[in-house]
Amino acid sequence: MHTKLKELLIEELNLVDVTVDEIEDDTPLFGEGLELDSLDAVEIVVLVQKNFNVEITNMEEGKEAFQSINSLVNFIKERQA
Amino acid sequence: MKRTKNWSSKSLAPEFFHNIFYGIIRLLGRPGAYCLLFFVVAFYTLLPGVGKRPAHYIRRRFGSQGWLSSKRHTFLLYWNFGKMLVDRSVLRILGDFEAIGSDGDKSCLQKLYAEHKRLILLTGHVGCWQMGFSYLDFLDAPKAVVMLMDRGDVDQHSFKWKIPGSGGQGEEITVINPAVPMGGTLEMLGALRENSVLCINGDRTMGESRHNVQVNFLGGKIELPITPFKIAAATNTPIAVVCSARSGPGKGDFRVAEVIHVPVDTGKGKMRGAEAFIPYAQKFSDELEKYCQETPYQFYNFYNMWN
Repeated sequence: MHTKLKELLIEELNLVDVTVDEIEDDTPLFGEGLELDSLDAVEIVVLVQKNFNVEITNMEEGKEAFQSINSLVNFIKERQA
Repeated sequence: MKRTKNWSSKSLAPEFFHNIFYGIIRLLGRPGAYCLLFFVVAFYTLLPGVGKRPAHYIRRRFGSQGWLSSKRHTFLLYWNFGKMLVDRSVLRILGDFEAIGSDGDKSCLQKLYAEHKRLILLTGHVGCWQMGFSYLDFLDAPKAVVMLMDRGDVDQHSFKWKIPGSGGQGEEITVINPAVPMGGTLEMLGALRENSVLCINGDRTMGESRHNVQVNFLGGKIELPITPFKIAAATNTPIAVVCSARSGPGKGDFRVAEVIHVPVDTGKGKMRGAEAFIPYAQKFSDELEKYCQETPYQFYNFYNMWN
């Protein structure tokens, strides 16, 4: 799931000059790290819902899920269980 | 990343001064507040610095002006802005404001909402935009508004709708502050997911510059945020551009100027990123410009938008 998620992020967020291999599982998604921002969060919410059928409904959930690839994968797995 | 907020939501006057106005409204009503307002507006028009703030808009809208003519435009802009603020306070304190809309606009909004079970109302800092939304009583839907509240902002806003079947009782609206982490975008998505009508002011930038696009406005280029259009595309929500004008004391005209449908995959095809949203931002800008031509003294962006 980690690799699929990274591919989706690169594709959907139009991350140029970044490859799947360059994104570490514990790289912060926002701020330092991938330097994503609020509108990228919109895309992530939509792509997670579309591809994994998991909803991120509020800031509290978002804060938990958007820490890193690891935390997003864990969040998706928890919600899918 | 470059930040692009070059305006503030903070009132010029301290809280004490606001309270004087609120007291006068309670004692003398709207006419008393207008009387005091006249002198306040005259003072601010002549105050160096404050009096120059609308100069960029005045030059774009009316062309180069002499000192006296420029002051006249400044006075009329501040006078209309002030009357809108008084009306807003009167609505909050006395519950008195009447927003009128056409049957066509009403059925347009009802149809859009019925089709999608959610709706984005996109407006700007124009006319009586806050009070104009009270017209939406007929839409039986949760309502939310995105509005920046700067630290130390003493303005008391008024967003109230009547609860259907409550005998005219007011309903407070959900306010989403874009200054919170993630810019409030998750809250906006949440509101739309809960079938809300989401009101967004789309004429000021505050986020990362890569999420702003340049559009034509009054003979120059300004930046507008793509946030409303991106959220509309992400959630397949239609946008109704609303330009409400204050038409008299305690009265406003609610107008649907344009309906914008942003395709779901916008920004993901050959044209990627923010540039894909330029046509939609330009449509919004075109409506703002039409509004400025028709209602030149009800445009409240008192900073250099063309910077």
